[in-house]
Amino acid sequence: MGGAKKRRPEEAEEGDPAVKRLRVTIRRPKEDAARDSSHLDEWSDEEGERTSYSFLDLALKPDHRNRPVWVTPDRRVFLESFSPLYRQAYDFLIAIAEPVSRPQCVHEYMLTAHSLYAAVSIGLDADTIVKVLGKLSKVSVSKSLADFVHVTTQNCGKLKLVIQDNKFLLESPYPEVLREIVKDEVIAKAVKDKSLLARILGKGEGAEAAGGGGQEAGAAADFIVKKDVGKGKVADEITAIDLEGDEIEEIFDERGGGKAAERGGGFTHAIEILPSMIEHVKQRCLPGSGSLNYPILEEYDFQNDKKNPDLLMELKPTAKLRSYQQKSLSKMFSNGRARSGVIVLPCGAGKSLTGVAAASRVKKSIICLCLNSVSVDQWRHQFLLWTNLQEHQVTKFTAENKQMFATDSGVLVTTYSMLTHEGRRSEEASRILREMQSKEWGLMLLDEVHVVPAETFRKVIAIVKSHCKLGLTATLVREDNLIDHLNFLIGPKLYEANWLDLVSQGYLANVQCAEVWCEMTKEFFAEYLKKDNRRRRELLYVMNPIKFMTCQFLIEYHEQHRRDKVIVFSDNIFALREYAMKLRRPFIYGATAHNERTRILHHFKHSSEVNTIFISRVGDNSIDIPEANVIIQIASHAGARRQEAQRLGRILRPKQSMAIGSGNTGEFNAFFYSLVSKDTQEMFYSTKRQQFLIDQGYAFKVVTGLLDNMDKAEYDRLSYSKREDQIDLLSRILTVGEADQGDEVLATDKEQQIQEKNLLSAARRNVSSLAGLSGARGMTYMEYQTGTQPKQLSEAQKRRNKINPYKERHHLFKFRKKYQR
Amino acid sequence: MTLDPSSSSLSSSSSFISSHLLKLPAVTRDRVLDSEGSCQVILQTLPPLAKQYCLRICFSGEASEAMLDGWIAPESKDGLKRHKVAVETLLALGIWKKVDEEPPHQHTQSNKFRKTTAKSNAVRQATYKMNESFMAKVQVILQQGIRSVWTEPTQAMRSILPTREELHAHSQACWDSLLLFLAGGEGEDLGNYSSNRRSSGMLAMEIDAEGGDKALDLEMVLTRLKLLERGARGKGSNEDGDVEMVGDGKVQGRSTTREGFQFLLRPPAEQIWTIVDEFLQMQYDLNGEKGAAAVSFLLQLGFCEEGKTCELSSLSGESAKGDAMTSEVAFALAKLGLLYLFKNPESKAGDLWVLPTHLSKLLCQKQEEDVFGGEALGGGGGPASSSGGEEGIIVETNYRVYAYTTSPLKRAILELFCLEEYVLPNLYVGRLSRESCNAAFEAGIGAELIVDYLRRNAHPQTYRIRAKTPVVPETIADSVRLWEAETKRLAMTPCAFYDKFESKELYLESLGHAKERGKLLWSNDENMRLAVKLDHYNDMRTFIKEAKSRNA
Repeated sequence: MGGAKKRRPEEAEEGDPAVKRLRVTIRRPKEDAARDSSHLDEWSDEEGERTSYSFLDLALKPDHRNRPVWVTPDRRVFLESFSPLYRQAYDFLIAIAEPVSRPQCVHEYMLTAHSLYAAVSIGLDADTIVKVLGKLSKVSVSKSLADFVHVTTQNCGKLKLVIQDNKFLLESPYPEVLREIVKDEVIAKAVKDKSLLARILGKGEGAEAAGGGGQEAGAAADFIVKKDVGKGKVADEITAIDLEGDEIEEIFDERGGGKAAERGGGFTHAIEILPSMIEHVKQRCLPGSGSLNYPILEEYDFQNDKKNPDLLMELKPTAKLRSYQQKSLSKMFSNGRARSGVIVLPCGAGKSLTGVAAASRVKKSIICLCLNSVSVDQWRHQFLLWTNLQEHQVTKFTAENKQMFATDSGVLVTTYSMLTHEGRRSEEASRILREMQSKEWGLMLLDEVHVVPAETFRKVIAIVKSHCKLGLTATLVREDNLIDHLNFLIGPKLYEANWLDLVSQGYLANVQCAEVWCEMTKEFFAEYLKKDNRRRRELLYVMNPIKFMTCQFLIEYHEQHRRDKVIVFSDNIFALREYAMKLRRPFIYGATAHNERTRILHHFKHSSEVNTIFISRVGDNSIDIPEANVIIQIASHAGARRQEAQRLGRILRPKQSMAIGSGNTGEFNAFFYSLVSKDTQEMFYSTKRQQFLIDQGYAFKVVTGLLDNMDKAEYDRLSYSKREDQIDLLSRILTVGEADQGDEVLATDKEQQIQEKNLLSAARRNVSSLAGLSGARGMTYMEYQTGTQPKQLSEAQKRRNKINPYKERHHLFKFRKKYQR
Repeated sequence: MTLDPSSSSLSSSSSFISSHLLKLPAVTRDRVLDSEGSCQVILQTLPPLAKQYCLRICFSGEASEAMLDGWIAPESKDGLKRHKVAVETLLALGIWKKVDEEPPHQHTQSNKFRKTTAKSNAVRQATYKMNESFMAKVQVILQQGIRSVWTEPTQAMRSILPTREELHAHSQACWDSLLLFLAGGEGEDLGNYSSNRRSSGMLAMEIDAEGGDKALDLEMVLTRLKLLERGARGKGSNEDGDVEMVGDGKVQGRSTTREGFQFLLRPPAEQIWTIVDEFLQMQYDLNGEKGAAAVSFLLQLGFCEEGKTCELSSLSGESAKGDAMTSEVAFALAKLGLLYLFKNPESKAGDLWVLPTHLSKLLCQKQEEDVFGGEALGGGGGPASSSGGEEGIIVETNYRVYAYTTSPLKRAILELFCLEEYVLPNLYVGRLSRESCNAAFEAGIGAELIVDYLRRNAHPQTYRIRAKTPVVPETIADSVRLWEAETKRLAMTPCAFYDKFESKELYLESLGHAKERGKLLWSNDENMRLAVKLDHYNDMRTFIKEAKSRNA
């Protein structure tokens, strides 16, 4: 017992009791009411305020040590990563649950309606899920959880959407299901043949009145009945492999038998749906409040599609799929059919190859959508690199280059904005568009799905009829609630890779993340606190001289001592320019011309003269710079988790020098610095931004006082180390016009436009936003609503709108206006 | 001649037990050396070199300074250092005495000792004499071998004794209930202490726990150690009106102090010694015979072999008074879970027998072992825990704390600095947050203590997984420390504020005065305002008065 200090009595009285068991209540974000259907209400009673979840009454199994997971009645699953059964358990859990957090030792998952829907869509059923969970769990699986699984999945897989002869058909082996859903108004509207509808409805009621089973056959006859062809083996290859182990396999046999009997009929019944109503029908059928809870699966039996011409496309032997790429594809093609969905792989982990490989399995016409023309080039290159397709078979459809393959089938690479563009189109563009509309596409590849707003998707899906849609992304999080849309617009999440596993296997660079705390100088902080300077706050903390010096120090350190390539990110254009000019390094932002950009990037990649570039938000997603391995972030977009992850993604691709597969844990080969001015709003944002990466198992090391132990001479050499310079800088900042200080808002190209829209939509924040897909039901993703925030955002919106009144115009005119200005 | 264990080089490598011995008054220490059992144990605890020195002169009984100097191994680098440590230890424990031609000065003895060893050719030759009783006992040991009082339990005893696992669980529960009381986890108070113990699945001890309650007034011990505070809370907490806080923070007029909370997170061996030490000091005059007997009892208990048992009376030493006293101590220790008492079924007299538990082993644990070896207790049991399974804490980089534990005590301790999220039968899931840690800091638990606790109790798997990195992720440890540093950025000093000075001169004079005394906290020349530390208030008042009259 060391150091028993004497305390003042009043201190003791004040301090201890309050402190001892101070209970902080966690306010869990209310479940998205629109999504959670009424039938889930009985499980959502735990929402709201609660201090903790005590499940001491769950029975602990005697051999709990041999089992890897805990399953709580409120649908959370904890997984030990060091268990011998980890691999199997992980593959199973990733199929049925949303990963919430996956650090080194204990993972956390969440069973949601969406995740179970995804599980069913890859061929698991409720009994299997509950039984396997029971096998894996250390504690007994509660009845309420089992019920949840059953209720959520009971209707999954009963409806399928199929495209045949350019017609959308809603099919089901159960005519009664079809009969039930057409009673719904939305669905009824969507049915193409209204006379059929009337007959069904009439008969349905008749059948109910008569109560006889005999009617069923009659009613069913009204549907388009067809022989159930090519039903592949239901036994799911992944899950069968995953759950090796004597006991577990038994269940699978059992289940397989049951399924086969159930589907013994061999007939499917279908109704045709109007193409324009597809999305509504799908949304209507999703589990959610007031919805029908018959989630529609989209499957494409491409092997038996004789109507659409095949594309002779093979992966080159040089293209080797990594294990996780193979796994994600096997989820997509598990029963010989292709199903729509989203594959989530970290940046730099080979998303494009996965997409190309999927395309080469389907072997039909492929349409590939990306964010901008740079990505279009990259995707086209990928197709040519990995497959035996010839130049003329892979065409681009962009503003500069409008082509359509002349052969029966081929690959078309384009951007989202080309398809959704609403202004006048050139004749050629219209012709190609018409051609696209008339075609039945085998597979639609959607790159960076997290960025594109739902509205864009809607249009795209209405224009392009594709049998199967595959979304690719690294970060399935958004600060708005638009992620949910992906679920019915594209499909469930099929696979999500574990970042840490890929790092340890050497597929990703091992990044040291650091948050560098920079003290505000006295003068800057005084200004920061002034009420009048509220609008300049951001500029003040970004331009903080200490931050500047830290940045300079880090750049020089990495350039000189490690010969690294450094990217400095700043969302603030004023700061970007100031920093870059002062440090004499090139910079790129929205207004930088395309050829200028290419030139700078070329030099950065190939010349030893240019080792650091400054880049604005435009570099977040699209620019592929495999050479860079250091990122310094000086200004960022508030609390956007995705931006942080995307920026980290710029340096995740392992460097040439590092042999793939030789994971050398513990040694860092890439660095991510986030410079934060102490005691400012930035600190708060920074914590929030990191949340996504922390949940992927990354750890942010806090670095304080980086410049404290520096040599005096070294220190003086840094810019702004002298007080006069700092004050000079301050006075310049304080006189900067409002228009020049803000975030980047100039809309100069299409990519920017999308981002712009995206930003505006990002401003619609609400507490209940993130759920389901991002697994954000926990407190982890809580959105803080401070008093000033909404107001600031709306101001920012206004400003954007004011500055950019030409947004809706055609881009040609927009340019002219801008130059006039 | 009492050496301060903390300043001495001994303390770094010594056990709790020897540092306890060092604290005893010389008289008592000599008495302890009267018992054969104690001598055995002390001989065992000595550093190897000291042990060797003892054996070298155990028949001659004395050695001259020059002779000793000859024993220093010249080739070994730290030979001289080890030699010094050995001699110092022996002197400190009173096993050796330095006899000089000069009359001995107690206070300068150790200084002089260093001087004389430094110049080995000193004219005056000092001799070292061995304690006679100790010498005799060592001779007996050498001649007859170690005669242990500990024996394997007989068949009849086995039938009534608890199994190893039962005993482990029982003793752990005894000890845990004490800590749990301190942690306030169950809102227990000491009145219910023993009855709660019985209900919490502990073995029904054959010997009535009443004996233990009489022997050991735990509340008294805890209060004396300032781990617990008596008396109702101040009005402040009532005004808050927060029922939860009052209910949790105070246990029927007693409350756990900052030191108490710190105590909870300390290594188990340290905890046990703190309690036992205080108990002995409180109960027995350490100068007396009883004190010596108690100490030798502890010594023998700490060094017994596991699973062996012995009759209580054989531990009480030679003295007559020892018997009653020993049973008192035994009852008290039984209450703490350090040993298990039972009646020998074979003997009709109903003589008490002692069975040590895994906790009594901690009595002789080395202090340094404790850093990582403390998982044996930690309030929940470590890998050796009989409840089976690996226990321990996993701290994740996402600020989650997963504790594999079934113990309510461990949960209560974690609750001091974590935010509980899930409680499952064998798992506690909590989160380290700024708020939860701030609460801990205010309760007196520092960042280092938290990180240390998490590290000490780390899950065995984390050592394997994080072989190259700290078991508690660096970023988390840093965060906790940073949070603590944040709480120290503002300091409050009570002050007296002066305003509206009559004249600039008066202001300047007062300012100068306050500055001179180093009591000035803040001043503003423009408005002629200043603030001085409150303790300077009276002084300042007289000064200003005088200054005023002077000016007038």
